[in-house]
Amino acid sequence: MKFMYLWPLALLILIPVIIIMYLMKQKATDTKVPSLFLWKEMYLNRESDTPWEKLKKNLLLMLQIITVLALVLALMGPYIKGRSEVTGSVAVLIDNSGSMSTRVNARETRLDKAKDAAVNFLQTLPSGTRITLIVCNDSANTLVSNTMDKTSVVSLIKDIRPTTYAGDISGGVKLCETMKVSDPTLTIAAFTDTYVPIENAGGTFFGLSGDLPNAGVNYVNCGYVNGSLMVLASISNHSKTEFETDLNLYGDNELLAIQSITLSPGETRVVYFENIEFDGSVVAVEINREDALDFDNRAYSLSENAKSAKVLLFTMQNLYLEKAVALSIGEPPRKSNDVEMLETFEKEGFDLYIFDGLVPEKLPETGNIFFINVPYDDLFTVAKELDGKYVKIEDTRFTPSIAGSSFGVSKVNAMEYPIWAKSFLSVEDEGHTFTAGFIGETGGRKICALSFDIHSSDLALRMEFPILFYSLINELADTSVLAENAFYCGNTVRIASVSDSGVSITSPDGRKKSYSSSMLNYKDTDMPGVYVFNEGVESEERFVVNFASTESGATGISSEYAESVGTSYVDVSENSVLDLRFFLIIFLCLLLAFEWIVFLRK
Amino acid sequence: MVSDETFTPEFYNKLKTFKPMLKLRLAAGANGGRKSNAKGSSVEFSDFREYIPGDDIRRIDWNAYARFDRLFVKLFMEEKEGIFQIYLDASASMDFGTPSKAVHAKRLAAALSYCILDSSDRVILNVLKNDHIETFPSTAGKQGFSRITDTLSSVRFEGANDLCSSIMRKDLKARGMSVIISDLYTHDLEAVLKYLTFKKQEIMVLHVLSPEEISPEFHDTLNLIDSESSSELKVTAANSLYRDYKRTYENHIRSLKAVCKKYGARYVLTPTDSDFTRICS
Repeated sequence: MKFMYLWPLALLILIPVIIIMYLMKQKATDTKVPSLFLWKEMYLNRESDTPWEKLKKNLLLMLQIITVLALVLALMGPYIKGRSEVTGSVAVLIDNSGSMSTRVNARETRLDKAKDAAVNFLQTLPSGTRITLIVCNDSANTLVSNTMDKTSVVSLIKDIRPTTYAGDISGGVKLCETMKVSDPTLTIAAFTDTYVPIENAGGTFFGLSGDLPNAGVNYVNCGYVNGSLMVLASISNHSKTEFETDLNLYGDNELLAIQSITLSPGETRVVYFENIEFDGSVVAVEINREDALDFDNRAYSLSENAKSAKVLLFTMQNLYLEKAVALSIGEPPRKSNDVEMLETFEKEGFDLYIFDGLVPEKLPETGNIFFINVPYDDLFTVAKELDGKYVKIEDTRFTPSIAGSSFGVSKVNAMEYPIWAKSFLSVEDEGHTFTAGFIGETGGRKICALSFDIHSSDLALRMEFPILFYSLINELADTSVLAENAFYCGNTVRIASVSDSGVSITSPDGRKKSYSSSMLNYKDTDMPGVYVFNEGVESEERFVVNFASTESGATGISSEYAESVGTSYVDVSENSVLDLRFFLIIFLCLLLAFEWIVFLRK
Repeated sequence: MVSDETFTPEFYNKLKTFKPMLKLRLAAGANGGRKSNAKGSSVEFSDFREYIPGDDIRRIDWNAYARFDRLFVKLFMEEKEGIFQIYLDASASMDFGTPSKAVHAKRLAAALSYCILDSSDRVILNVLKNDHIETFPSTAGKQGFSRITDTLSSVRFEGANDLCSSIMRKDLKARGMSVIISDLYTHDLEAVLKYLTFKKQEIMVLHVLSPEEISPEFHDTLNLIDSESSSELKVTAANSLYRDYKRTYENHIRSLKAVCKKYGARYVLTPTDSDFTRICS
C-alpha cells in the first residue's frame, strides 16, 4: 500500500488534543454532598472492572482516536497499485477542449474521468519516472516538464479546468515527437476523446467515451426575405440513438418560434424558421432538451448585419444565387445583366459587387467583389479547365460545419489562388490540388472567387449551399469595424478602431473591459454568446461567439475504434489502481454512526 | 443547621401513635417498669418455691401451708429499669437533604426517648461529633422528656466523625439497649456492633438517609465535595453512572444488614421522607 500525500500525518496532533480534551472534559460545578463514601465505593468497583470493561468505559475516546486515524489515512490517499510498463519518461497529455465537457454520467464529464484516470496512471508509475504534463485545447501548454515529483503533478492535474475551445491533442503530440528526439524513452499517455495519430511518438490512449445522448446546433444563419426574418440552423445528432427535441428560436432573448424535430443517429439536418417578425439584433437557436453537452445546445447569429448591406448582382439568370444573396442581406439584391452599366451603378455606392459569369472591363473603385465563374487575370490565374470533378469543401471559418463534404461539378476552372487569399474549395487533378474557390483581402477590399458555374454543379441542391453562401455574402457585405462578427470559442477577435478614446467589450456575462489601444486582439472569447463592442460613446457593434461544432461531434474513442486504427488503448474504467479512500470513508461513516450510538446509550 | 421547627405540634401529635417494639431482657439493674428475668418484689406473681431459712417470712403463702402442711413462699416478677443508650451521629454529613437528615434523626431520638420514658425506662443521650462522644445526663420519667427535647434542639451537626472511635470511647457498665442513629458512612460498623455486643447491649441501628442519597439526580458534570473531609470527586451525569451508584448503594445496604444480622442487631432504614412513627412497629 502506498500513499499519495504525507501532509495529513500532521493531523495526528489531533490525537493528543482529543486526549487532553478528555482529561479536561467539561467544566464541573462544585456541589456539596454529605459524603463521598458511596461515590468512592462506586469508582472502586469501576476500577475493578475487567480490561474490556475499562475499555468499554472509554469507548468514546477510543472511537474518536480511531476516527482521527482513519481520517488521516483517508486524506493520505492510500492505494494499492498495479504494474506499469512505463520506464524512463512519460508525457501525460490531457485534452481539456470543449468536447471534454461532455458528461459521461450524471456526475462526471470526460475531463473529470480523464483527470482521475491520469492520477491513477501516475500512481502506477515506478518512482524515478520523469513526468511531463501537457494540457491540450486549441494549443498545447506544458504545465510541468521532466519532474519526478508525482505529488505536484497530481496537484496540477486536479487544477485543470475545462475550456470551450476547439482542439485536440495534436499540438501536444507534435511537442512529444520533438522531445522524443532527445529522450527516446519517452512514451505518451493520451487522455482525450479525439483520435490523433500518436504511433510515431509511441503511446497509449486512455479511452473516454460515453453513451449519453447528445445533439448540437452546428450553425445558425439568418436573413430577411420580403421583410420577414428567415433563420436556418444546422442540427446534428451525435448519439447512437434517435434524438427528439424541440428547437427554440430566440430573438434578443425572447422566444420567437418552436419547431419539433426527430433526428436519427448521426443525422445532420438544416432546419428553417420562416416568416419571423423580428427587428432586433441577435437570434439564437437552442435545443430544448438536456443532453450530455450543454455548450453545443445553443448557437447565435447576428440579424442586424443581414439588413444593412447593399449588393449589386451582375448575372444573366441565376435564381439560386439571387435567393442565397436575398437570404443573407434580407432583400433581393439589385440586379443587372449589363456590365457596361457598372459605372452608373457605382455612383450609388454598393458594398458588394457580384459578377456571375459576366466580366467587367475594370473593377469598381470601392466595395468588395465576388467573381463567379469569371476569369480575371489581374487577380488570379486559371491553370486548366477540368471536366467532371468533385469539389471538396475545405475547413475554414467560411465553411462552418460543412467542411469535408464535396459536390460534383461538370466543368470547373482549376485556379491558383493569390498569396493574400485562402482557399475554401479544392479540386484535385493528377495528384495536384487546385482551388475552386478562394477569399481574401487585398488593396483594402475583400475579393472572393468561384471557378465554376453554379448551374453546372449540384451544389445548389445540397444543404451546404445556403450555409456556404450565407457565410461568403455575409463576409463580403460586411463593412463594419470588426473584420468578422461570428467566432468560435477561443478565437481571437481582431479589432482595428479609428477611435482615439479607446474601445470597450462587454462579454455575455456582463463583464465590461476597456482598452485604450485602437488596435486590439481580443482573446477572451471562452464564453459562447453575444459580445458587445463599443467604440466611443455612440458606436456599438456586436459579435457572436459559438461553440465549435467539431467539438460537439467528438464522440470519444472506443476500444473498437482504437483497434481499427491499430493504436494502444486502455479503458479508463479498468482501474489499475485500487484507491482505498472509498473504503476508508465508508469505514469512517460507520465509525461515526457507532460513536453516536455509544454516546446516546451513555 | 437544624431549624427550630424540629419539634412541631404535628410531631407531638404523632408521638401518641408511636409504639415501637423495644425488646430488652434484663436481670439486673434498678427497679423499674420493665419485666425482668429476676424474681423480686412486685405485684406480679411469678411462682412458688419451698421456704428456706432466710427467706422473707412475709412472703410465706399461709394458705398453701394450710393445705400441704409445708411452707412455701410466693415468688414475684422483678420489674427492672431498662437503660437505653441513644447514639446520635451529629457529624456534618447528617445536616443534609430535604427533608433534613438532622431533623429526622432528632425526631427519631426524641420519639424513642418518649417511648422509653413512657415505659419507665431510663434513656441516656450520646451525641457523636468530631470523633468524640458527649454523654448527656440520664433521664427517667416522663417529666424528663422536655429536657431531652431541649438537649436535642441544642445539638449542632458539624465536623467529621468516626462512628467507631467515638462509640468505643463510651464505657458501658450495665446491660441495656443501644440505639445508633446515623447515616452509616463507615466501614467500621462491625467493630462498633462487636464492641456493643461485648458490653451486653441489645442493638438497634437506625439508618438515616435522604432521598437525594438514595437516588441522586443531576445533570452535566459536577465536582462533588465531601461535607466532612472536603475531598472532591468529579462525576458526569450519565445513565451508567446512575446505574453504578444504585448498585453500590444496594450493596452497601446489603452489607449493613448482614453485619447487623451477624450481631443480632436490628437494622432499620429510615429515609427522611418516611414517617418516623412507622419504624419498629
